[in-house]
Amino acid sequence: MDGQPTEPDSDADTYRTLAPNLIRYATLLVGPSDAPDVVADAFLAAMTGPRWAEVQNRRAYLYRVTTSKVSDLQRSTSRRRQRESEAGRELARAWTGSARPEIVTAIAELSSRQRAVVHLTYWDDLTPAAVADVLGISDGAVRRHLARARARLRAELRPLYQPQEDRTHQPREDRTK
Amino acid sequence: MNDITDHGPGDEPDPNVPGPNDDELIYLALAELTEDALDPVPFEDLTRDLEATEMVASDRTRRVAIGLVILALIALIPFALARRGADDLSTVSPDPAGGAGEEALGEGALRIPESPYLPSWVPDGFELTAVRRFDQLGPNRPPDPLAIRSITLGDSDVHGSVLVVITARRFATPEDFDRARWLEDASMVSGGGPTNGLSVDGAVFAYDGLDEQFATFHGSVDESLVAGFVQGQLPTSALARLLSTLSIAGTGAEMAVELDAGAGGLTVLDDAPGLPMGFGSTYTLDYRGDRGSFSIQVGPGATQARVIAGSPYRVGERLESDRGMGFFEAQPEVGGALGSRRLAWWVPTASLSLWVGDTLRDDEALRMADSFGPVTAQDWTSRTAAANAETVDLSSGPLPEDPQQTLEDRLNETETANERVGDRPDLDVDTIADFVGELRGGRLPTDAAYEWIGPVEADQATASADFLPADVWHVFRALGLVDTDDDRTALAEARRRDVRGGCCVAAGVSLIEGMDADEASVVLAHELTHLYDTQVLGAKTLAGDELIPFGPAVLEGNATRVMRAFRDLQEIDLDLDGRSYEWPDMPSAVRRLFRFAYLDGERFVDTIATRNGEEAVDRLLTDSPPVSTEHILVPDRYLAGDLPLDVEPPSPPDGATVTARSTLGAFVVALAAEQELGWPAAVELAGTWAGDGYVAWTEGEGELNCVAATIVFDDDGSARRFATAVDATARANTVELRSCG
Repeated sequence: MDGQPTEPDSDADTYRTLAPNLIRYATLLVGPSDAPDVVADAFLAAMTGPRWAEVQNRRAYLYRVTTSKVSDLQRSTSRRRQRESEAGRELARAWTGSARPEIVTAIAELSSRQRAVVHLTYWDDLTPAAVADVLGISDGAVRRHLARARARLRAELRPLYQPQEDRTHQPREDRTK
Repeated sequence: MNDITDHGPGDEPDPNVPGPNDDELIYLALAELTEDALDPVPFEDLTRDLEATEMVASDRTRRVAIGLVILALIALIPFALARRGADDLSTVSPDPAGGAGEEALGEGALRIPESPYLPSWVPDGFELTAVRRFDQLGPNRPPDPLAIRSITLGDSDVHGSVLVVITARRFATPEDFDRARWLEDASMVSGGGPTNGLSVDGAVFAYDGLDEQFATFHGSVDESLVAGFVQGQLPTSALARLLSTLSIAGTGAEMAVELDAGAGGLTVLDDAPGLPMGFGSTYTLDYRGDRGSFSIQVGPGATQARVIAGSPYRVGERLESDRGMGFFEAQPEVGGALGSRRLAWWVPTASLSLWVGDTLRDDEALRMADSFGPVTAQDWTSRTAAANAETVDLSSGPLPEDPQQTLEDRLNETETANERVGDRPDLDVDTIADFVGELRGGRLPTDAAYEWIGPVEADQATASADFLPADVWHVFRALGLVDTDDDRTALAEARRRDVRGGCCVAAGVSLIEGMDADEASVVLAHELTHLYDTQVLGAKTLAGDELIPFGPAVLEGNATRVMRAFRDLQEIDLDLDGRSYEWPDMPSAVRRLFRFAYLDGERFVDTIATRNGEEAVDRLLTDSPPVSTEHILVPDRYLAGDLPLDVEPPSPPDGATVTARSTLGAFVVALAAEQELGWPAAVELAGTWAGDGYVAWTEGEGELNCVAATIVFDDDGSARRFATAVDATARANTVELRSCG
């Protein structure tokens, strides 16, 4: 930081601060290629909305709008997929990143809702109540989605992160917020 | 960020477990998976888009105001005419401000503004004879300034005809329009969509004798005009290919079908209103060889289909003319909340009139436009290739060899085509019937037989079956057993398409073609068991008062038991436990629901038969049926004579829109507990279910499904286990559950 005074409430600052994490969130839900557009659409929709100036918690609000944009995208892709009689793992197919295929598959086998809950809980450290608020579901539903996701991921991920692997366990303090 | 706390899952590292703990595993996976996440769009680019959006919004407001004053809007529709053959379909230049076209519009009709596109709008040989406006299509539609209009082209050539379909979408910016315009040719064919906003796309199939001409067009609309019509005589191939190009999407999309065979043929079905199509609507096209058929299913909006049910054509009535044949089918959906009507029509060369259009409010159009993905050069290339391929294929598509062919010839062709569709192996029905009778301790009727049916008949026979009723889906959503992005219609359809046979309506046993002899004989054993149980034994299916009916579990479970015995005796290699139940992406609860009647039912019946003999199975089907899903899941509870308690459901919130009050039942209790306990423990817990009452309602304009239930268990410990599993509260042996999702 250069010590210059900032305008933490400006749209530009909000965007630059929150967009990277929102893109990570959207990446998990729709894949890397669509994520920046989804987030850009979400920002556009949020900033042009009548309530934007009144929003107190812009981070939570933007997560909610991004979730809505993801749903819109998935609805359209769902219809297309239905037409084409495809029922595969669209997310896994769309993935072009360097993550190990086993991890992509493990995450892709979760439902979209489960992926959202996992990301908001683990990456953004939201409480179940805050996750419920973002996704528009009950706390109990969040806990159930999380339990299902954890149970599935546990079995899939454990073999991939054994100590002998050449991977450094990042402490939580290193998270990019 | 008050509600963004540092609250993690709190899973402390276990020193006894090498490597990261479960929570850290998930975090590491997320980090690895998203480390390649792309950078955000630069904020400056975003604001440029924002300015464009605001400009459009402002322009939209102005346009709406103008629209209200003028009350007229018109499509400017350029079209690029692609054609085949040596005949030149050159364009003419009708005078947009006058001439025969305007005279035919009548007082108060739409005015066509001058447009550089208009001269090319009317194909050679046709003249504009009418422009009609439909202000309100269907009583369920809100006042809509962007109503459907239709444009009718008259046919000035007695030997020719034309078929036109137009759909329209709004563009957000002129640049978007330019970008999408060149996409339209391809998207029209491939079923894709434009990048943004509204555009116009369509197709013209002109048919003159045996010569077929094909054109596409595209353009912009100054206002949200959407119009389209289809009229004329076509070979089936052209019709089928045209229909296959239609892409119906979005809330408010409407479709209607009219049949018109002219003076010498079928009665004209006038004023067919729009049939609202929602997100759940399905559209299918079946086209094989020279026998074209299509069916259009619409819904929700059962009342809108009355024009078909109440038309001169009767349900199931077979219509014949020298141009073709067809019949109508109307079929209410189980449950009655939604409705569907199906119109099926076989048209060797029948004459059809059909219009299609979208009516979209601005916000709907923009939202819809937002849903289309970005376009890349690669998309364009591939779509162009697809379009070219389709066009070429279209040109060489099968056409009637002889338009003067007699109806009898046509019928013979149809029969032949039907026979070619799938395998229909000969089965030894007597041997299979003997096996079923011997196992069941009786004899089937001596005239027991079966018939093969094709996919179209099978589709009709199963059209009314709803394997995922709305009230079940509501509870599944509320309990978090399915996600909002799970598709009920697609899941139910997948299940429906797995049906292999049927019994025991008027036609007796039916088998759906396409099976080999081994599979067909096993399925026949299943259906003949139904025949025995219902017609010899007089078994009835009990509905019960639980959310999931338990009655079918006895009939289907018994038939599955018999078919499995037959399969094993014949040493046939056929999996009876997977099939549709393992459909990709199927939520666990839905899979268990689909398995319930067949596999859980089989286990129940088999247990009873093993312990008390075949006569006890007969009693299950007649005078001593099970009375709850608890009996099916845990046969010991049936044998113990355990009866469920009547439990009053909790009160819904004030003002809630209640959708159902009933009993969840032990099966749903097990589904809810499965996520935490696993299925075996959940079933064990369900065996302590004593009764429940639930109420379901919706919140947030129907977007949130909620349920509250009072569930009573046999003991306090079971209630506590269930409450812990579903994050509810237990008081003594009673759990108060409340959940929305």
